[in-house]
Amino acid sequence: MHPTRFDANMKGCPCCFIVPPHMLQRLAMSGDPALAETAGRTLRLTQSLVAFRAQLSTGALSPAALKRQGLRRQVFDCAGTSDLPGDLVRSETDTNPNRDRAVNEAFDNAGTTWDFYNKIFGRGSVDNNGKTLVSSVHYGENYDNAFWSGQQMVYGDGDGVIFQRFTSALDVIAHELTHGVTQFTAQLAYQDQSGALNESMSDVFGSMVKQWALGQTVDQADWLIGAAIMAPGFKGRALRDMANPGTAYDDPRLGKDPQPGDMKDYVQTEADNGGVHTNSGIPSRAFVLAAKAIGGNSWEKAGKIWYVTLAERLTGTADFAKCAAETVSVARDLFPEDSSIAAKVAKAWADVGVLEEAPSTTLLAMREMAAAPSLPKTKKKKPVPPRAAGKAARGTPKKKAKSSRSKTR
Amino acid sequence: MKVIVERSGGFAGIIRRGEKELSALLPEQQTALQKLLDKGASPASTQMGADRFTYKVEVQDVHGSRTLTVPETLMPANLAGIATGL
Repeated sequence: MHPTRFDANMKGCPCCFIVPPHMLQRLAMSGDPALAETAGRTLRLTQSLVAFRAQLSTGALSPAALKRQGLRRQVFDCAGTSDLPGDLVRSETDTNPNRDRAVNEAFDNAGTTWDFYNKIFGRGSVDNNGKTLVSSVHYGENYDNAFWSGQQMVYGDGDGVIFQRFTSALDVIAHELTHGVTQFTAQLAYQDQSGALNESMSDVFGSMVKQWALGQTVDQADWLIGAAIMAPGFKGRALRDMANPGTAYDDPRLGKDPQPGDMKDYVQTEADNGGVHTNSGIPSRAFVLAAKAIGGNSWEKAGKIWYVTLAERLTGTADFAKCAAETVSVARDLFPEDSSIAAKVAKAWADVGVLEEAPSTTLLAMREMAAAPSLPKTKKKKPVPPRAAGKAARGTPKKKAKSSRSKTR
Repeated sequence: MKVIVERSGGFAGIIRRGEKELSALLPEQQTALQKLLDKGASPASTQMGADRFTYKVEVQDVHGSRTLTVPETLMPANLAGIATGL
């Protein structure tokens, strides 16, 4: 079922649904990532519309509230060229879907990502100042990529052999949009560890937006990146598996997934700006471990910790150890009443080899904090360096370069 | 005597690499390659944004071996395809 068909059919019959919610729920949990994603998004929209209609009937909301205040989107068509941005084909004032599926996917998925950042973190667009979300589709010929240009999102159609069109996956679009968020916040330099953090943040929030749209808990989430853009015949589950880095694919044309999940396997390479898409597996796995240890929905606690770390604590040259330290510190600040959360974050970073194995002093200190009477809350001015992370960072990568580990074609 | 083109980066972060004999290059490819060599290296880090491709171009000829790193924005399309076997 195409997402825009749902919108089109809502006209004139706002309470009738082509596919009943219970069936959508089953589809959302199905093994087919593309189907599950679309069904989940439709289900969420269905639920929000039902709730919204209930509020309307009681007079709690005015029809004007239907608009997502501050959301502005534009989609351009490059028509197979590399000229950006291309021709404008859909904007916020266009209530009707475009005839082009890629245009609507870019439009809708940008909207869902904007909703996520707005509703969960109170962020107003990538720059937190209402920046219009500009997307260009059909970039280049059989272009096997999606990227953030520094100004906008750009999507290729894929070669049809390994990749399908990049607009079809919500996690891909949320990944690219998060590069924009990073650009306007921590400005993580796109090289080596800071670059890998930049990539990891995009995967972390890319997966989180997908989970939010599907209503998935950390245990229900697949933690895969790019599952929906892989063409039939691709030997693998996705491009990256945040929970199990290095296991996403083993394809005769592309080789094996090279991502490490532990600092001892850090890949030293000159390719890909120092392996930013490879070594991102380490901090991404730390997030998964933290989110799973905390439990529930990833965006409620672990996601907030990572967001505040990105938006307020990190700077351009941050490395893994700095990120680990700041997430532990933020966890303490955000959840002072529950010291176990910071301890779980510290353990996650220890489990991927960025912090020392046994954060016993941290745990001890946190137990003491938990046992102590509550102190009056004061306005936070400066982050307090965490005890474990500050002294226990293990930042020395060990693995040698493997810049050409993928097979040639 | 050949040119080896390696593409890294992109959303997928997958490395693709291909090579071609210099004698098998089309005239327009030879011209583009000569221009690249005349211009010299461009640091990939000057590329704006994220998830762009980065190319490594290695030429092996009578002068020896020369390697350039070229950001996607400055890579001639008719040479970029060598990385993926085109």
